Parts: sequence; structure tokens; C-alpha cells
Amino acid sequence: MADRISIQNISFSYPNKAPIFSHFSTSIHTETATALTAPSGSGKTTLLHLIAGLIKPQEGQILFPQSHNRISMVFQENRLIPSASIAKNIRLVNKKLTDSEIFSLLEQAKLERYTACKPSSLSGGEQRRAAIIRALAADYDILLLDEPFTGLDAGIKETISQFIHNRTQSKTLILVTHNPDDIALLKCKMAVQL
Amino acid sequence: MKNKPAILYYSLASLFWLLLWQVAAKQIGKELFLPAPIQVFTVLVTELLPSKSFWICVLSSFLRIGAGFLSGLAAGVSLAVASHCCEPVKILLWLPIKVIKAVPVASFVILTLLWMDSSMLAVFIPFLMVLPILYLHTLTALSQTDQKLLEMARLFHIPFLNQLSAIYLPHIFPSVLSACSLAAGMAWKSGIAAEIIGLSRNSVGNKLYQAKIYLLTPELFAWTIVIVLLSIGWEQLFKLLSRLIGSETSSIKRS
Repeated sequence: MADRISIQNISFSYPNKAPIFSHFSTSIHTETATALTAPSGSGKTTLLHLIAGLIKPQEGQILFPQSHNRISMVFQENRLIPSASIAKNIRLVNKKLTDSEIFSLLEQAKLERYTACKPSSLSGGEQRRAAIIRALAADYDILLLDEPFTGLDAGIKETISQFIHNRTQSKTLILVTHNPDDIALLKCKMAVQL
Repeated sequence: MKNKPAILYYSLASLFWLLLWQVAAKQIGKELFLPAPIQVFTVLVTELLPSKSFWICVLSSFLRIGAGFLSGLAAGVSLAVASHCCEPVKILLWLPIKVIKAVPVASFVILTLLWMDSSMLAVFIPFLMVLPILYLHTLTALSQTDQKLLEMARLFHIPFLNQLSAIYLPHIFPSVLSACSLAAGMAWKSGIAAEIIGLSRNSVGNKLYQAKIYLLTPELFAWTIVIVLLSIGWEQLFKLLSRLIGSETSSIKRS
């Protein structure tokens, strides 16, 4: 139990919709990269939201090891704050970061020239990269990635995945994707089939 | 450059109505019923604008109605925030807001005259007119705040004050300004009506009333033009602010 996130007997359905999970249980190893795979519409994103605590299961519980429960996430949508600059979007999730630390994080994603720009002045792929950098900038033990490479071309995907891999060595990474290449890129050691 | 033809068309349309007014005044031929625009503008330029009492009246009406407007704005926005954060407050305010919206200005004026000094009437009535407009617009804007951004803010434990400045305020600001533009006209109309009924000293409303009882129709028209200009001036101020904020966000958008 100490080295696992334990999903115990959870049931969940959105209002007036068919149940997505009915007494579902599984466990995810901490400090390792795990991929959640399943056909689309089977509840991968919902499970990430349940783990993140954004929604609550109607039954069951999700248990985290003690002192391993700070969560960061790359959402399916970028969810960047439109009125804030890219640097401010990052600072808002971690106010301890200095300007040069933010700059160097953005450099890794080739976004350093957009530090002072608002998200709307970036292309879709650039916004995606900014959302990934924001998630990596937060203080976290568990990083949830929901289709993180959508809209990224092959070259930058590789650079970003290497950066994610380096930054999450002693952390728990949970990846949701329908693309087997992404699982390989992030070197996921475990796969959970929903 | 793009606006030039539009300005020309609007100027021509205004000229058309002025000419129509001039023709109608000439046809009627009685200054008492309908003075010609030239007479009205002559009174405005030669009698009203140079007199000290005109500026005192304009300034005191401006301050009174402005105070009512600003307090209505502050109360409307604050109550909307309270209602958004606390459902019981929203339920509690539902009836008073409906009542304030539905009750005619004249009823409020007559009732208020029983409770407070007539000089305060031109503050209180615009306050009552502005309050529900600002309350409802702000509440609607707050309820339409991007839930996904709020969810993100919760996940990353972004402090409430930062959420307020980065998520809520930029979202509600355009709605509040648009409500201000709408409420400005209401505030002026109701404020002047309150001054007329309450006969507030040194006020535009009182001057309007005096012009009416002494049958000084050109002066009555001239004061009406002053009220219209003041009201439009306020509306334009908020429209300009809305445009400035709108252009700031659109200028950074990539095509």
C-alpha cells in the first residue's frame, strides 16, 4: 500500500448518464510511469479527474501513500489563463520560481520568446507545450498527463517527452493516451487496461 | 479611415432630423409649443453656457447622480459576488432585486420623499436604478466564468486572490462595463426625474422644472439637450473603456 495509489471499489457516473465505473478497483505504482489504456469513451479522462480529486466517486475511495499526494496535471484541453502571460500562467502554479527558472523551463519547450505573451498569441502546439511546462513547474509528487502530445509534431514531441522523463524520475507519472508511441516515448513501465 | 463614411452617414442623418425639427417649428410657428433648433441653440450658447448658475447646476447634478451611480455600481457588484459565493444570499436577494426592477421610478420617488431629504433623492433614485442592472449583469458573468479554468486553479491550489485577479476579474470586467454603459442612461433619466419631483436646489432637474412653469420652452429644450449630452457622455465613457479592454485582448490574438 505504501508504494501504490490504491483505487478501491469506485463507482462513478455523470448526472443522467450511464455509469462509467462500477465497483472498479486497481492500483498504480508510485515513482514510476504508468499508462492507462482503453478504447475511447471508456473513462480514462474521468479516472484521471477522480485521481486528481476534481470529481468524487459516488462509491469507493482512492488512497494515496502519505507524503505522496501533491498532484499536477496536463489536462486534455490546455486550460491556460487567457488574460495572463505565459510566464504568469507558470508563476501562478508555483510562486517560488524565479524569472530565470521560468525562462529556462520555457527554453526547454522552445517557448522562451513567448514569456511575456498571452496564450492567444501562441499556436495550438505552442499552447500545448506551455500547458506541459506549467504542469512540470508545479510542486508535485504525481503528474497526470491526459493525451499530452496532441497537436505536437514528431520532433518537438521527442524533445518534450525526454524533458518530462528527466523531470519525473522520482515521481509518479500517469499517462492517458490512445497512441502506443506516446507510451514508448515516456518510457512507461506499467500499463493498466481499464 | 474605415469609420469616416459611418461618421458622415450619422452626421447626415442627424442633419436630416434637425432640418425636420426646423421645418416642423416653422409650420407650427409658435415658440411656446415647438421652438426652432436655432432658437434653442441660441439660448444654450448665449444664455446658459456663459452663466455661473448653469455650471453650478450641472456640477451638482453630476455629483449627485454620479454618487448614486457609483454607489449602485459598488453595491451591485459586491452583492453579485456575495450571491455567487453564497447561494442563500442569492435566494435572499431574489425578491428585492425583482421588486426594485419592477417598481416605477415615480413610486420610489414619492415613497423616498417621505423618508429622506429631497436633496438626497437624486442620489438614492439613480442608486436604485443602477443596482439591479449591475447586480444581474455581474451575477450572470460570474456564473459564466470558465469552470475548467477554476477546476485547474483548484488543482494547482492557486490562492483565491490570484484566481480573482487572473480569472474572475478579466472575465467579468467587459460585462460590468457594458452594464455601466446601460445603467448610465438610466441613472441620468431617473436622477433628473428625482430632481424635478424633489425640486432639489441647484440642479438641472429644478432648472428644467422652472423653465416649464415659466413657459420658457426654448430653455426647456436647451436643458434637455444638456441632459442628453451628459447622459451620452457617460455612456460613451464606458463604451470607450469597453473598447479599450476589447482591443487590448484582440490585438494579441494571432490570425
